[in-house]
Amino acid sequence: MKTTKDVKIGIVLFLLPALILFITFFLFPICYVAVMSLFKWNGISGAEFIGLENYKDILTDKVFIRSIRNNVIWALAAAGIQVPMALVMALILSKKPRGWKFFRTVYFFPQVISGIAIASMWSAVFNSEFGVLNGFLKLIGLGDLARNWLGDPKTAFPCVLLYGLFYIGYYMVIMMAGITGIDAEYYEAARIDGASSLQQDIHITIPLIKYSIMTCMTLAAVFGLRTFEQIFFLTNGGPANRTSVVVLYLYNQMKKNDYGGANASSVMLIIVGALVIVSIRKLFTLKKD
Amino acid sequence: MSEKKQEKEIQTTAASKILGGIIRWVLIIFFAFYTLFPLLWLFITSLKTNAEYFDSPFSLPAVPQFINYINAVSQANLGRMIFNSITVAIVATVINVLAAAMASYAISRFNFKGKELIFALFSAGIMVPLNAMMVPYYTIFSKVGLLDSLNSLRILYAAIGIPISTFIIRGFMDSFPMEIEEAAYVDGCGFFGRFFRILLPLTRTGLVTAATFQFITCWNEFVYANLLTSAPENKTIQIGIRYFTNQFTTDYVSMYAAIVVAIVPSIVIYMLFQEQIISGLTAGAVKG
Amino acid sequence: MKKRLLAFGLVVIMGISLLAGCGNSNNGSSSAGNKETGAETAAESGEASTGGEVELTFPCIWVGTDSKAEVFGKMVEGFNTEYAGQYKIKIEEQTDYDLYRDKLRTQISTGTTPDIFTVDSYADLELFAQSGYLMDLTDFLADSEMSNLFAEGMIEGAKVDGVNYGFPYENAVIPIMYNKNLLEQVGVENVPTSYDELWDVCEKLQATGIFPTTQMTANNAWTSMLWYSYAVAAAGGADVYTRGLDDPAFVKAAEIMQKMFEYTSSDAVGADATVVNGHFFNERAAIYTNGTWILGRIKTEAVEGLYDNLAITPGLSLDGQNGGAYVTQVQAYFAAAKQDDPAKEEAVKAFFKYICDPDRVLELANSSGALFAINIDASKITDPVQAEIAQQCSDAAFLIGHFQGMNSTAVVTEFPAALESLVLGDITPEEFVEQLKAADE
Repeated sequence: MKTTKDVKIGIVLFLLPALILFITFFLFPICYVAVMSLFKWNGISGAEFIGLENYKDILTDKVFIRSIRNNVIWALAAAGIQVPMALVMALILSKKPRGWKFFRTVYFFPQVISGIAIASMWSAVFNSEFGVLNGFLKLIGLGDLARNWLGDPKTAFPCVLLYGLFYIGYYMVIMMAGITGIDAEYYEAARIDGASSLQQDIHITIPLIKYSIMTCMTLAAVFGLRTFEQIFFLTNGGPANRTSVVVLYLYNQMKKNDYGGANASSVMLIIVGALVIVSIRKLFTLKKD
Repeated sequence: MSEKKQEKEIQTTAASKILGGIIRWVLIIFFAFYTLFPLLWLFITSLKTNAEYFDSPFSLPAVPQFINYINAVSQANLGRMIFNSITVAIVATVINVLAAAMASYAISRFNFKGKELIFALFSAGIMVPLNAMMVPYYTIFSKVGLLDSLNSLRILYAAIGIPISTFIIRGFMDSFPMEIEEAAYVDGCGFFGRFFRILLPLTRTGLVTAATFQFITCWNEFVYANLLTSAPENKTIQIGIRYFTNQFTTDYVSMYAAIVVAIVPSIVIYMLFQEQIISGLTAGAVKG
Repeated sequence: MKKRLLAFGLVVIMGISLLAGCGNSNNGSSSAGNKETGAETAAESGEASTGGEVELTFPCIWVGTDSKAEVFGKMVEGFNTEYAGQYKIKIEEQTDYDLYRDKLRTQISTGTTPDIFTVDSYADLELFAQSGYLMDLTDFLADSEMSNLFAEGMIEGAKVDGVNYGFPYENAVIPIMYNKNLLEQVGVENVPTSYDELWDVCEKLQATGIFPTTQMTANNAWTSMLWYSYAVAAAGGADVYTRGLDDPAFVKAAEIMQKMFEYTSSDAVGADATVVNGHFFNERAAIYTNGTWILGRIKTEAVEGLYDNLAITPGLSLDGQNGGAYVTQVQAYFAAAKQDDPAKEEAVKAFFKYICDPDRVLELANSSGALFAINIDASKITDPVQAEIAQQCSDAAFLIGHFQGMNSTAVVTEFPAALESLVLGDITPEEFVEQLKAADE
């Protein structure tokens, strides 16, 4: 296909709406945030230019470092555990077992429930006095393990991270959509060759939904890096900042009237995220070539 | 010898099939339980009194308090808010998915200068912590005089979803080989024709997926819903949920009732969207 | 090629950002910018009001399920009726305080300050005053017609650099509350008056499986912050906050907090208000502290009889000193946007006069359980416990603010995490205070 004049006009026209929205609501605000990250500013008045001082401050802040670390663990866990689980369930449900439509809807429920409600429930589950988890452990004779799950520095972060990993609906929906797009012919040929359904999954389905998997992994990693609500409603970063994440950190900077620091954290987050996205893309396109 | 081997193979396949079936159902039921549990809890809790909820969060209500629902709907004017949320979410989703699909088409199907830069910028947009954007967004809408109007939310929501939607839709478009279009090109199908007649129908599942997420994002957003609107007739459902929270106390059971009410439309819309994917599948099969 | 594109992109971004930056700093700092924005708002709302009626915007947090909502709403309605055709207050319902504060500060920083609003701390009043968009109320409040309404020193205490940008309205009065039933169960007849006595009582309660005190660290660690405030009062006396965080009292009080967390439920670290209230309301915990507004909830949501079995006391003494303190803190200041239109300024003042009327405030106090900075006839408080608290407060050895109200926003935000580190044994009481001080820099 040649790039004709009519195609050139088409490309510009087609990019325009998204670009206009993007420039207005991302590019300009990001530039604003980037510039303001060079100022000491309380959010109300008297911005004072201090160069890279805000960056120096946050990079030497133990809480920021821990937040970044938590985010990285989160991103890895989401991309490495949550997405594969979602893939398995997508493969299972696309074979249309009994009630698959029902299950596909059910798995998506946590996405539509307000974050406050889910967090309230889980904080009650993990509560040491009346929580279900401790109750269950005592019931099966493991009462020694009972503890204040979200208040104990050793268990707080694993608990906050783990409970959400099993909510796989979001990624499962993307991958199921990918699977439904696969031509049935591929499978017929495989079936004639006597490939088992597991073999079909591994050799046909997974390679063909590679882009969906990549999309999911990227989104999972990125959502892991910018996670906020799940922490904010459940532990608010506690105990003693053990579960802090970058967006919560910058939210607290704003609360402390340190807008310069908050903006610097935002810029760091965007840079790290962009690097992650580009590298995952590189990783998947390399394989193709 | 070979017969024996075959027999053994058949046995193992039968055994592994049963085992596979068991594992499969264990997984299906585990995840179903895991995801239904919060919903069930939410519903049960929304029928308790606050005193019962404080006393033990996992017990059943002595008497189901349907009054919580009456409170939620009458006090917080949820009907109006749900209506607002639906119109905001639909308009924002349509604009968003259309703009993202068009951009994805240009990026996925054509080569031009700066396309990877544009895509990289869009991708970086996914990372932007929207909480930090209150001052710029507020300034934009106050400058153009769109404060306290649902149009501000429609535009903003359409915009904030652009990075994710483009990312998802491009992924779907990339997975379709160029050959199909090349055939159409030879048949004289132009730039626009290929988009509307070939790519859009083919990537329907991707569009619906992006639309689903976009819709949910619009439905659940509350920071800007509060920041950009003031009048009670411009409030959305997420503000309604927070109607029962105050400076020092929260009326939890009424809040949970409001949340349950707010979930219903989004689940219905999700199911409608998913039906689209299935009918898309049959359409694709016919073509294939 | 790619690299060059990237470089080009970066240059464009920087160029744009410089422009954006310039535009902003002009708005923020020059007074010309301020005036312009002020005039804009005035003109806009001038258009909105019809037939010469002056309309005022008021994002109000006392709405929805807030205990003050009903009577305060009636008050605003009363004002609108009394001044019909002249002034009109337009309420914007703001229920979630975090969202409200985010919106308010965004509006103030962009020069679109609402006509009337409230802030919950002196630190915020001070911060927002810096914007230059707030109305100077000094002369209005100095007039005896207004100044006589307020408790002594209240208006003076709300001044920022000698100017009243706001005035105190709701005044939190925070007693210590005991569940008399539970105390009797362990054979305690008299409520403790010193920390030594308190530890004795705690020991007895704990032995029978009752949580002695209620502690929490989630959100702003509210009730534990109040306990810390009482400890600071006992260790440092009435003027401890004027001496700042360097005062040894803050370390001593941190030691008291360590002990308090030994005498509490196992879920205290990470607990929020739901958990704490749940324990006290259901007689799992015996000793509690919170503002008077909680009384209404105790009546409706606690186990039966708890309300009638409350014992109320002021603060405890430490080493025989500083007993009988009462923690009180202004919980809401009213403030207003600077107006160019004198009619609007008059409207704001008329509204402030209206809501400060002692009879109306009394009705608000009686309906909500809250107490106010405006003098009311204490004998007319209908709720016996609330009346007792008001009485104890006016008889108190000394009054003292709470830690949250007396410190900068940065210290207040740091407090929960520092407290968690302290009670988890990560840091010593000295380091706890150091951590709070470091947040202030």
